Amino acid sequence: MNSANLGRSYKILVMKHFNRIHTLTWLAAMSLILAGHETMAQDEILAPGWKNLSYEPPAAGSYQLPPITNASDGAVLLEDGKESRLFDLMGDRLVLFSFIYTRCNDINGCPLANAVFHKLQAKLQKRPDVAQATRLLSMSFDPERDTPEVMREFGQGLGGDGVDWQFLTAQDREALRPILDDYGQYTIREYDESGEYTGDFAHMLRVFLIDRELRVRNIYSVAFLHADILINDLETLLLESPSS
Amino acid sequence: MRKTTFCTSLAVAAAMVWTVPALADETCMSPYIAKIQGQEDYVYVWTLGVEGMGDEQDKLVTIDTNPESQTYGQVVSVLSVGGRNEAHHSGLSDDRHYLWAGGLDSSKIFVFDIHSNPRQPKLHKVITDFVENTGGLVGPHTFYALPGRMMITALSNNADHGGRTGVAEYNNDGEFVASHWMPTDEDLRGAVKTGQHADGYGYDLRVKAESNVMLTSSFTGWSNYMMDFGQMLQDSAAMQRFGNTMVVWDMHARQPLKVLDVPGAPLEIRCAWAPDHRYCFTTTALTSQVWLLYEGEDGEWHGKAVADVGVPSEIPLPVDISITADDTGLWINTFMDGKTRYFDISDPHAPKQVFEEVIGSQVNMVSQSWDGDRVYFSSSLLNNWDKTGDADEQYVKLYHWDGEQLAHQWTVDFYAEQLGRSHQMRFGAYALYGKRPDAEIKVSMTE
Repeated sequence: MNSANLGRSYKILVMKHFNRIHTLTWLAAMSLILAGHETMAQDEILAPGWKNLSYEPPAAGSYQLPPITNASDGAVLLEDGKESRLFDLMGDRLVLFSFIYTRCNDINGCPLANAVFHKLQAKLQKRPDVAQATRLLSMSFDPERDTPEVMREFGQGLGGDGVDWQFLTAQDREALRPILDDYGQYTIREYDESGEYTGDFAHMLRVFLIDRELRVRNIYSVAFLHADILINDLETLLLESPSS
Repeated sequence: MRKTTFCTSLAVAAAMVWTVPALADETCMSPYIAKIQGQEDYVYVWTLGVEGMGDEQDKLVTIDTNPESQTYGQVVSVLSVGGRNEAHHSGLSDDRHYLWAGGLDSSKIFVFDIHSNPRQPKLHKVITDFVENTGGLVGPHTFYALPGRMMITALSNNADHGGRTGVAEYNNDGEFVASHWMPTDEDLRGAVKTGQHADGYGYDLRVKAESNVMLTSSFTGWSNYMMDFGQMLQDSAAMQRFGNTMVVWDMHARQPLKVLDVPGAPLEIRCAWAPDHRYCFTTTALTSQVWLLYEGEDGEWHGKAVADVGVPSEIPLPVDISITADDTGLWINTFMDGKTRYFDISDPHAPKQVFEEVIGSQVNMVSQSWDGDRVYFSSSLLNNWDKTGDADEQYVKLYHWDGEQLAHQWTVDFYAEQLGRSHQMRFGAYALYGKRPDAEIKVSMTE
């Protein structure tokens, strides 16, 4: 299979199987891409996060990440269905906070965020000092389909030992809306030509780095999301003095 | 077209809810913003108020650009902001919900809500403490979106109103985050001075994420850009106060790395779109040259002059430039002769002019659709630098470009409509917000 065909097959595969949870298949496809089949179908360009970084990133601790804004709280549901709040999951650790939905089939959207977290997880497993101070949160903006059970099954295919990676959802859209508004995570439902909702969302990928004082210290989009950058940013914050 | 899906997944759905066959977007904005697929519905024109004309205030003028609309080519909204600020440049937030527009004289920043009703923008916020917050930066110029943030270059400072300046970083709520001052001879801030100059001047800013590089260019300070143009040309001391540098920054660290000599006031920066095209262009206002900034085989960024624009000794004054989405063409406007020139940049090291046409008695800004088929021009440079008398034409014009010729479509005469001096143009579209131009809104934001 040449690389272009791999890309097309991958997309078809994702579209077929994301109607139900099938993370093992998703991971298999992802692993092929991560193994070096980096060229997608002709109409796709893979985001940097899928590949090796093309430059030497600045060393951890050699730069500053000034606070951008304050993190926001909100009511969420954990994988076991229990009610919680975002601030119950922030403050004790550095948090990388990503918005996703499990049916997402945009290779440079949620799958990218999941893949980068997955790569970061592997790095963290080699850096237990950073891992112990870090929590990954992937929150769905499709609460109707992404129930706690769905998120739990989805997460079982992604999470690994030694890294706190939790998969969240909301009770309903009313509970979700203020969280999306506060984080500026706008989504648009997609409709087909007959006006039927396709089950998909258009959205801009955003991942937030939140420190232990509940301040947003970086925001990553498609062009900037990369595991090498994330772990350096985490380490940079850990190297700060407590008063920073 | 490939870059649209690379930049954001939003573009895909935008086309689905508002289906128009052509792909379109301006090509000179930050690549880290939402992209439009489809015909632009509006062009937002940040406009200088003129004493004795209309309400005399700076204003955001909205022109209908959808050819299927009954008001195509007409002004559909005028939003005055109170007073004159030397309205100049503007830029869209990464989610394209807001348009930020600056005043070079007042240092005020006006943030317009363009998503609630794209046809009738609202003034959302006015930032009045830019100088205080940034530690003395004056004259907010370029607004360049990064995820959740806006990078804002300044042109001057409040200590001497000269050209020493820096870059400010704000969050999307309009709150100050950080200042990054340009390296100077007195304080290189860790950068390497590679030539004769480290003047600390600023103007434009662009980012090549693939190289983790941010580039800034340099112009002149408040004391010059607020001076009468003819008077300044006769003032030899003033003419010495123009920037001669560009700075290469470590984007992620916001750390200046190298100061490059680029003599003659390098203004607009446009970077190639393809990830493996690791280069950008600028033009120098006073020396009328095209410069290439590029990553060499040594991994370092370099600059070199690669072409002349017109006859440099005649000082045609290159102003705005616009790169095509496929990195093969560069529009270059020259203010003094009112011409636009099209350069073939297929070989970035050897650009060749292949077309030119007079747009008006004066021309400044140029914005093209993503497919390159539609090219918009506007006229004003600065309040005290625009031509006078009959030569002081103020307009927005739309042309269609077929790759060989420009075909004029319409003109909005900003003086005839009592609006003022037309400057920066930015595009808007309903599709970005899951909306349609008719009354029926099929989908809603933030489910």
